[in-house]
Amino acid sequence: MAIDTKRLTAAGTALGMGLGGFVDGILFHQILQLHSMLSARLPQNVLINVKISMIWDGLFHAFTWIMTVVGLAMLWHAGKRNDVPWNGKLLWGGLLLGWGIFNLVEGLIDHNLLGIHHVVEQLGLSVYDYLFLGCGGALITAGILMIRRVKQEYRRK
Amino acid sequence: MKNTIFLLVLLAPVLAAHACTLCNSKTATAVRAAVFGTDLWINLAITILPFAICFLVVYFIYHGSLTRK
Repeated sequence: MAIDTKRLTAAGTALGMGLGGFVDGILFHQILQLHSMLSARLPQNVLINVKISMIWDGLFHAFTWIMTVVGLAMLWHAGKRNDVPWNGKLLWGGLLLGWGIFNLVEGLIDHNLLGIHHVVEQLGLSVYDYLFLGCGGALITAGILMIRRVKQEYRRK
Repeated sequence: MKNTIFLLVLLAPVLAAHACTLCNSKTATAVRAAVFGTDLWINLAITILPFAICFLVVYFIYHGSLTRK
C-alpha cells in the first residue's frame, strides 16, 4: 500500500498557521501590545482608534480560529485513513512549516509591503520586522527538514 | 425575593445595553462610523489576504502540488 504523507503534512501546516497566528495575536497584539492590526494608520493613544483596532484584531483572531479548525478537521480525516502514517515527526514538521509560512506571509504583506502595522509600532519598520521574517524562514526550514527526513524513512521501508 | 428576581430579569437587557460600549455612546458612534466607513472593504481585504494565501498553500500541499513526485 502506498503511503500518503501529504494529508498529515497539510493538516499540520494548517494547524501551524492557525496556532502561529494565535501566538502573534495573543502575544504581540494583546499581552505585549506592541502593535495591532491597523496600528500604523491609527495611533493607539486615542480611545476610538484602540476600539477600532480591537474590532480588526477580533477579525484577525476569527480567521486564525477558522484556520485552526480547518487544520483539526483535516487531522481528523487523515487519522481515519489507513494509508496515512500516524507520525509525530511529520505532524511537528507540518506545524513548524505552517507557523513559518504564516510569519513570512503575514510579515511580508502586513509589515513590509502594506505597512499597516509593524512588530514594534513605535519604531515603525525596524530590525524586529526582519527578525520576524527571519524567524518565519527558520521555522519553514526546520519544518521542511523534518518532513523530508520522515519521507526518506518511509521510502527506505 | 421573588420580586427582586423579577426586577433583575426585567432589568437584565437594560444593564447589558449599558455594558455594551459599542452600542449607545459618542465613542460607539465614532467607532461604528470609522469601521463601516469608506475603508471597510479595503481593511477587510487586507485582513483576509494573508489567510487566503495560507489556505492556498495548504491546498497545494494537500494535493501534492508542492512536493516532488
